[in-house]
Amino acid sequence: MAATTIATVRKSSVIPGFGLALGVTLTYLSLIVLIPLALLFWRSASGGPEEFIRISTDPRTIAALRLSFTTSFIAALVNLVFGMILAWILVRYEFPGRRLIDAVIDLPFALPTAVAGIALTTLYAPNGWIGAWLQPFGIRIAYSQTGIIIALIFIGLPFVVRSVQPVLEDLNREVEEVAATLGANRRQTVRRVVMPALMPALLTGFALAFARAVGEYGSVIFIAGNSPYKTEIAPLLIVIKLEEFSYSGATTIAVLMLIASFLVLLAIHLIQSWSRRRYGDV
Amino acid sequence: MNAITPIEAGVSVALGAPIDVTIENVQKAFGDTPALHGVSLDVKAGELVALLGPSGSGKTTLLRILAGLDAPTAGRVLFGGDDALGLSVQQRNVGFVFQHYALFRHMTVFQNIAFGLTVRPRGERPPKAEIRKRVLHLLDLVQLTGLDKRYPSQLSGGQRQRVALARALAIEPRVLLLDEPFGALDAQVRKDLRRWLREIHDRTGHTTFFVTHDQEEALELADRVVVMSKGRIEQVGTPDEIYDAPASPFVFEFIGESSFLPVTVVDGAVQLDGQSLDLAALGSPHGEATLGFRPHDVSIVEDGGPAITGTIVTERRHGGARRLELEVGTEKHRVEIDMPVDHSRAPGGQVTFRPHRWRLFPR
Repeated sequence: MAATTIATVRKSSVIPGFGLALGVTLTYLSLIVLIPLALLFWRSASGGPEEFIRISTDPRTIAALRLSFTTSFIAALVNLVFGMILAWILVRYEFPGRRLIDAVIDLPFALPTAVAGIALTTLYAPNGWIGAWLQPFGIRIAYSQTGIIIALIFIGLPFVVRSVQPVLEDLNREVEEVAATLGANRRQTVRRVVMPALMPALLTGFALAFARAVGEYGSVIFIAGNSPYKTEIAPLLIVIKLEEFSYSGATTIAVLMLIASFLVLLAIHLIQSWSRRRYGDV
Repeated sequence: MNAITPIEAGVSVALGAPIDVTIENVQKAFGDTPALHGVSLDVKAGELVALLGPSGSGKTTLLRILAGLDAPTAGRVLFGGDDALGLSVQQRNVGFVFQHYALFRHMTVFQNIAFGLTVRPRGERPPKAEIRKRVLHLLDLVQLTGLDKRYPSQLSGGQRQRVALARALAIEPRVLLLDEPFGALDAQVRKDLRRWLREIHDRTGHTTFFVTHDQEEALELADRVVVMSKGRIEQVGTPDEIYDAPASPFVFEFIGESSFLPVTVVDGAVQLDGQSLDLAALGSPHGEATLGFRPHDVSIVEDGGPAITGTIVTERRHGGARRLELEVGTEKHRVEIDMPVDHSRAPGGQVTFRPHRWRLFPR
């Protein structure tokens, strides 16, 4: 079935080069993604199943993985809400400085993450500009899980904004106007008309921000404090294992992260394709 | 696409009594750019009125002001004698249909049509069974029975526009406003829907405004046509009045086909280049004027009497006639006239003709 489809495409398509393009794509993907990941699995299995189970059930590993995924999830959620608001403001309103803000959004992409981590730590440390104000209330941001979440919010900021922005720009104002003529107030229009239209883009942004946060290392290690079982993220634990020359330990944690991330992203992708199939393109 | 059949007897929509709409000296400016200069119009309850004009004439702006989607800079709008401008879009209770349907694509046809009822406050919202009954009823009315579970992406353009109309009718609007409702559809569907909209209107009796730039559509569909240009109303009248007695050269040119010649009125007679044309201009003021006539309202003159003589520039087939483009007079004004198909004339030759129906517009 698949073979006949490919053959038909090759023969009748007005866009030539399918075979070549597919070949290039597969080779490229293999070299950049598939082979390194396969090696990862192979290395993690090199210590044998007992070693794999021992490392993956180690409380320190579990604590680090749990910390990584929960902080990433919370950070992605925060980015979802505020990224949506930011995109809304940038698209819907004209105000002085709009283009400047638009440009600033991409800074977390460009900045070395270690620089971001150092800057955030300086601000939020107990003797920093913001940290000093919070200290009397007993609120600690740097060297706590809150600090990790703030760093992850910072690096994930552009994703939701940039995926929602173009969809919002394309969103037909007439749909909102027609809802108003039908008697819907602003809240009902946003909830029942605008949000469903933005949902696929919001999910994409969320998934990207989440994936980026799970893999983040540079900015977090400065602000986290890195105490085992408490503020030690999984990527840091991998580096620690490597420094101890425990390659199977490092790759085992990496494989666990990989599987968990893959499952989360797959779930988001399935929700998206379901909604796309349902709503179609009008 | 399923064909549109005549509406079955017995299908009707529960309605309040239709209302009068009064527009008094409505003005609108976007920044410094005026879009409407003092427009006034009285529309009787149940009338179907076409707002006709080229793009930029202000017809859509006027429609949006009626809906409450835009606010006028000055003027009054009355719905059934009550001020409408003080009401928000939501309170105004108008049915609005956009050219590109503006359907909610994540909702089924059923949910789209029911939307206006389901967003009502709990106390005013009809019970579920009642909503269902009403939506299915409207689906019958717009002849989309059985398509309630489809999504808009699964419908043709004509079907989508009918869903949009059903959705607007569901809220029992006091006024129905249609913005180029057939503009995005192809010619055949457009013709079907036009006839069908007229039937729906006759059945439901809403006071209806529809915007169009298609004069044929306006003349065929409307009880009265409002011709607009550059933010002003040029003429209001029945299709017959608009076509047969255009009030200005603009209306004459915009509706139907037309040719114009600059002429002089001397003692109640029309002269071109000092030559009398034997056209009585009773009641026209002395002086410069524009003579307008339709290409098909001319007779060829072969008896040598007073008439217009022109040199043929081009000749081409035009429907059931042969259309000549002529250069007339010393200024070589271009006009078009129709001749019977069997009168073939070569370019460069001379033709003498006289309009048997015409309009004079003083300059």
